[in-house]
Amino acid sequence: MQLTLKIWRQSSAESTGFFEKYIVDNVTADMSFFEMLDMLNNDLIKQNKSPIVFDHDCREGICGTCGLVINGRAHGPLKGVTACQLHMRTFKNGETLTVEPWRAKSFKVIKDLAVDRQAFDKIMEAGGYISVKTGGAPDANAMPIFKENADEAFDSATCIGCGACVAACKNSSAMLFVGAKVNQYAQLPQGQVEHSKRVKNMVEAMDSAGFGNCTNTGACEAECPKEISISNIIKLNKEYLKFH
Amino acid sequence: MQFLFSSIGKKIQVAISGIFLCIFLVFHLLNNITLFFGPAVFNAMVHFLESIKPMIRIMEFGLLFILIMHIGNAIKLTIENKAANPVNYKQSQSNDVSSLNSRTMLISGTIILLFIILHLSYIWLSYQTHNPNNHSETYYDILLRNKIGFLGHKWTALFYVIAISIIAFHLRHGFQSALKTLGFLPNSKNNFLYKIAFIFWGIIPFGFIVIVLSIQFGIIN
Ligand code: HEM
Ligand code: SF4
Ligand code: FES
Repeated sequence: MQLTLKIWRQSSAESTGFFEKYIVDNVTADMSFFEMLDMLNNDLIKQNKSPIVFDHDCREGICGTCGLVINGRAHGPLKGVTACQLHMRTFKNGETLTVEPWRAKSFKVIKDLAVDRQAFDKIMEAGGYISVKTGGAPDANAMPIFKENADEAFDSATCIGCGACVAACKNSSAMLFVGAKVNQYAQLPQGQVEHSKRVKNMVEAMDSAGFGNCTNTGACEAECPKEISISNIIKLNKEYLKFH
Repeated sequence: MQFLFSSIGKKIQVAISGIFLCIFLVFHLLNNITLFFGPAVFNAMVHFLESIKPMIRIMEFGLLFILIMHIGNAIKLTIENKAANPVNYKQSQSNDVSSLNSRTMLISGTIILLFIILHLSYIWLSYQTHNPNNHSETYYDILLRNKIGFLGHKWTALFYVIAISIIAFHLRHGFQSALKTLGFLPNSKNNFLYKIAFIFWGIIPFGFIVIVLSIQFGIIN
């Protein structure tokens, strides 16, 4: 099939970007979105033009590196699917796709579609860790945990830190990400050492990184490729009230 | 202090003040419902409120404080949020992922504020300036017979119906949003709060509209 792409090109953080139009032929339904971009990039390189920069690593939906907005939808139109796992069969022959980077003040564009997500690392440094004893690894079943807590911690832990929640939010709020992290540790005995300080420190780091304030619009939960529930934000609020 | 000014702190201030405003609306509606029982009941209710005037004054100041807390924090939140997200997507699909109500809270809020100002300047001020102790007329007369507050005019009725619908629109998102902000989980033992949300965004505004229309069509007279 043939597609028209309008892709955001920006040569550096400081320069102003613009949309460039590309027509791509010979797209097959089985290609992933990124394979389609690879094909386009090969052509650009052959023509001595600079290829489109976009973030990706695992291409398996597990690392959280990828992320772009296709026709106004973070990670594309499908629910619970990362951009790297999106296949061209989702689109129709002749369609025009507008491809943009995450837009948020805290995620500066590095080049084209790649953005700087160090703000998430700053939040993780502030509390996204646990203290453990060094030495041999403990026996896997040595620490009893309620099934409900284990399940919930696991659900929250599926957050891959991609930033789609921020990108989709009209307020560029990072509360779904922070909520997922805080809730994950709050559910587990291993998270208890820093429990009373974690939420305050992470929220402080989130605020100073310039993310906006959540107003519960629910766009984050709708766009999250790991379908992290907004109840993580409710729990974040609860933890914040409890441990302030 | 730092708590109040953090992102979640501001949210919580908007939520608590918003819930108090919702509770105020309940009492306001209960007062207005006495209109259906005729002048005697309405006047008795107003006289009772008159007899506890100092308390009412304190409550009025409390309400003003709550309103300022709500509006001040809401405006601050909205400005910060716009600053955090300065560039819009070329082809935004926000309707697919969020409700219109949730994205226009400042606009609906501003209309509500204008309504509150006009409403107070017509009704509350005319109460203050027409003390029935000096006249032979009662409050009921002032409001409904002399139409001091412009009640009974068709444009007033239309304006009121629109404004009240916008309050409903604000609360359709606002009430459940406040519950989330205050940490109530929809699937916890507090889930009845989510189930009764429609009382606040539906039944109560509807009640006010019924009263406005009843005055307009002479059912309350
Ligand atoms: C009858 C009067 C009002 C009631 C009952 C009311 C109620 C509420 C409630 C319950 C919320 C949700 C709080 C939350 O999300 O945590 C809210 C949010 C909001 N209100 Fe009001 N409000 C009223 C008037 C106003 C006025 C006059 C303004 C502004 C001029 C305003 C602006 C806002 C804004 C911008 C939000 C969004 C904040 C957010 O989503 O977190 N409201 N309101
Ligand atoms: S909460 Fe979802 S959208 Fe946000 S960073 Fe985690 S995986 Fe990505
Ligand atoms: S590239 Fe790893 S999740 Fe998409």
